[in-house]
Amino acid sequence: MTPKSLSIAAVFALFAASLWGWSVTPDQLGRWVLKALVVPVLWGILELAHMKRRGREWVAIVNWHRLCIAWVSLMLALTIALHLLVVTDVVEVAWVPAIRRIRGVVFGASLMIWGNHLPKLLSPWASAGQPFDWQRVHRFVGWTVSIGGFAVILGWLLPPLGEARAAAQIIVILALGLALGRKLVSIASPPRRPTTPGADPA
Amino acid sequence: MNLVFKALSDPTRRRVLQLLRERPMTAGELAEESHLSKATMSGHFAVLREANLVDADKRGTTITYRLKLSVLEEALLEFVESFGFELTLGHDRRPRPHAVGTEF
Repeated sequence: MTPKSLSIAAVFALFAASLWGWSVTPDQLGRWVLKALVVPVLWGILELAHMKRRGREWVAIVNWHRLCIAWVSLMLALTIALHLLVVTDVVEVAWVPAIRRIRGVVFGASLMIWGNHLPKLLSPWASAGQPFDWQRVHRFVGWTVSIGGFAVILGWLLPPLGEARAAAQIIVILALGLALGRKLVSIASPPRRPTTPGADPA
Repeated sequence: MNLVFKALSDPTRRRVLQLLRERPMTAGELAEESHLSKATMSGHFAVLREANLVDADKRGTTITYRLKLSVLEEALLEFVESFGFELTLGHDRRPRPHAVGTEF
């Protein structure tokens, strides 16, 4: 399955889960429309933006974005499905705390996998024309998100459930905030040193 | 993963990865920094490419290497550097291996 087909399948799964949710709670149409459309719209914007991308670095980045969309869609679809299974009494309410912890651990593990792979992406621009220090930023973001994912796993496993969700949310916000901040600082700052390698003597 | 361990087991290849952390470099620059011949370095570059730790971009006669380390691979590199053999530069700037812990 290619990243493109996986992202399409995941978006359809999210759409289907949202339709199911609307059928169970028809009075919450606005909520289900939002859940059904936000990710597909984002997916459509990314596909349009990447239509004319060429080169192996851009292909890797585009596929990475597709896998991110697929991951977000599947996580949302799973969350919706579990919620509806509880609402329709297919799953007993007593299982909800355990399901939440498992979902939290899976989310943390996903962050670790995502962060681990991020530094493997190569800059699509030539060294001299990079708008920011691609390598340093992606290394920083990768480490931050990986450590954040590990902390999320601990946050869901260790504290009482009532505090686990708050702890995990704070950790995720901190990690993603650090990552975004680092990228913005790098874009705003000039490169530290020339990044163009010298010519190789024949 | 075996390919990664093999790539990280050699101090010259670890030195190449550390140099590439700063910026992309050509094969010639890496050979000059490592004080080894290009033929020797070619073998090291092949091992690093096979382990998917570096990317080689050939334009004309120039090959530019870029780092491609995941977080786990970078952590492994740091671990091996901390507990393995390190290269130091002697007064004549030639690399000499020594075991960690033998300095006074």
